[in-house]
Amino acid sequence: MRECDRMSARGSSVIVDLEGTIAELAPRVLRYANARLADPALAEDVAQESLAALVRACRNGGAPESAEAFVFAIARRRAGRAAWRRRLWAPLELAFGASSEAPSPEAQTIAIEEAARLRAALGRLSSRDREALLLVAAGGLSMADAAAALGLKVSAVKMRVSRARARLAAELEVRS
Amino acid sequence: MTDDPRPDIDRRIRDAFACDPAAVRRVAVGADARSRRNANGRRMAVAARVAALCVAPGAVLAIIMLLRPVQIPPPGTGPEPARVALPGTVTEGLLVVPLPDGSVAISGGEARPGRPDDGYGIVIVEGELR
Repeated sequence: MRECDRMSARGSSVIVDLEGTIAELAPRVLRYANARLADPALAEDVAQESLAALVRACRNGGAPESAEAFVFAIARRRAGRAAWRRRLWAPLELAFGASSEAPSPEAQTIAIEEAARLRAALGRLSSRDREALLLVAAGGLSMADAAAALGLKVSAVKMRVSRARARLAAELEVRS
Repeated sequence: MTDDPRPDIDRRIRDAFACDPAAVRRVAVGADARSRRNANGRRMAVAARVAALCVAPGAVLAIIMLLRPVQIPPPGTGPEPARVALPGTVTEGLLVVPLPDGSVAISGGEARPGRPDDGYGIVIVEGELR
């Protein structure tokens, strides 16, 4: 990674300390993936793959302008694919008993009542609003980085996040 | 972080989906190793694609050749029959040619100008032997 740091520093990239960037992004992207997938093992896989893509990009001399937007854009795509795959394989896993494993400690942690309520409320939002809110709230992205990750204008992301927050608050209030 | 902060909502989301520190460490440490592993995997994938590109045209050609309908030439358009030289005789205007299978072919009838009434020589036979 040291070599990558030097390459990045020579180029146009703003990434100077890749190890520090990864250490800072890891919990955020993992939390985002957790919120999206509700599966700690899968979330870990998605987060690691997204950060690995950043390392690869730096090593190849193509370090992105915004590491956050880059990593979260990949995490978002991969989480979407993982969710689809899970949906496709779920019947087979049920048939072969693959999903009957005991939940991991992480799964037990996120299965607490608050997480379940929040997940249910998030599920009632539109996917576009939910996506924007999770990037900002769970991923800790700025509006500009969220806009870059979603391929939207900042104003559009602001509107979605604002609407999502209001609807989520209303949902939680109604259900409580 | 945002222009429209609702700290309660954002904080609830962050707290609800908090991550295990061990998992965070695994993700951070594993990213580098994974990027190297993926690079090797990608090289293998590229090699496989190149190999497939090389093999594919040949395979397609072979399939086309195998699927091509067999062309049966219509009668009369086949290869020219072989010409065979056989000894024969002309007797009273009739051409008599003993054939290789033991039979004798006789043709002719009316005398034609320039054809001798009697004689012998070599006859060029063309066509199927019947």
